[in-house]
Amino acid sequence: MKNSQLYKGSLNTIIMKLLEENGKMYGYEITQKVKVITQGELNITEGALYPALHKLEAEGLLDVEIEKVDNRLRKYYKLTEIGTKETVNRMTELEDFIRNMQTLVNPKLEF
Amino acid sequence: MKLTTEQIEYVSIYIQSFDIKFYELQVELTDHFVLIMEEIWNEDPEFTFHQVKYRAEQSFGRNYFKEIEVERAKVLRKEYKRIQLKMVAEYFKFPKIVMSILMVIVVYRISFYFENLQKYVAMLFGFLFVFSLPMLYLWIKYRTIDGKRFLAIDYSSAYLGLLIFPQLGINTSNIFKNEIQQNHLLVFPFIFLWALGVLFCITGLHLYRKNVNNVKKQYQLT
Repeated sequence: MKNSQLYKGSLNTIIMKLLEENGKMYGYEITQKVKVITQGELNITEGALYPALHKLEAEGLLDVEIEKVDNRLRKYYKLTEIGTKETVNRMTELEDFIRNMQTLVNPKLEF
Repeated sequence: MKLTTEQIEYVSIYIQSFDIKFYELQVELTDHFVLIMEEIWNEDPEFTFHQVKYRAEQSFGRNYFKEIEVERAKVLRKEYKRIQLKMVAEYFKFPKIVMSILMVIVVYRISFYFENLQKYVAMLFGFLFVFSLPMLYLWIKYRTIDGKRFLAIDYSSAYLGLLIFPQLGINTSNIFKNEIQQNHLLVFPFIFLWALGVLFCITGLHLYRKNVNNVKKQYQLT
């Protein structure tokens, strides 16, 4: 992940936003989706992705579905009802953060 | 290029060789690793299976396997504690607090029928130990489901933690044996500790059963 420290705090929100848009997703799919959207700029490592997914699952924000695909089991994640509501809150927080950062680094820009 | 069933089995054993004991992680990491391998193989179909595996290993990073398991264990332990404490705290709020107060009052009133108060306290904690036995039964029963171990179940087993209450109650009441006998009100802290143990037992049992049912439902196990 480029400048991983900058993205670290937003990883959970990124995952939740992706799940909100795509319904259910599995780990590898999330890494690929992020890579495609950011045109390879952002690469989520497995060591960061799975702890984040497991934390969100333990907090009750994500639910798990197991399906058999190509002779193996696949673990899908999807937002719970609470998770969907929380995504809206976290996205607002993230947008505010981005706006504040933008103002700080480039005070002349107005929104 | 898709991996065959035998190759997937090989990958699964390879993942387990990193001391990944829990089934939910074996499933998740195997699928992820297989997908990386398939992607590499699609890019260069000339590679052999072991070349692809080697490249996938470099992409994934060998250290991540165990790290993911350790992190999951930490997250589950922390979350389990948080949820259980929240559930216990509910018994100190209306309306459940009425039940808690009633339980303490009834147990306190019964203490007047006993001449040896230390023995009464020891008996209470003995009952608590017996009351926690269903937890031990479930812990043994669901240590594996269909021969598979699940981290989500392993870390929601509070049985060993529950043993602290009987031990603490019996030992402390022994130390303050004479004081309890001289001052009846001193039974109260022990009853409170006992009630707390009962609450941890009830909530622990509830959480454990919930987690077992959840895992069974997710993985379609019996």
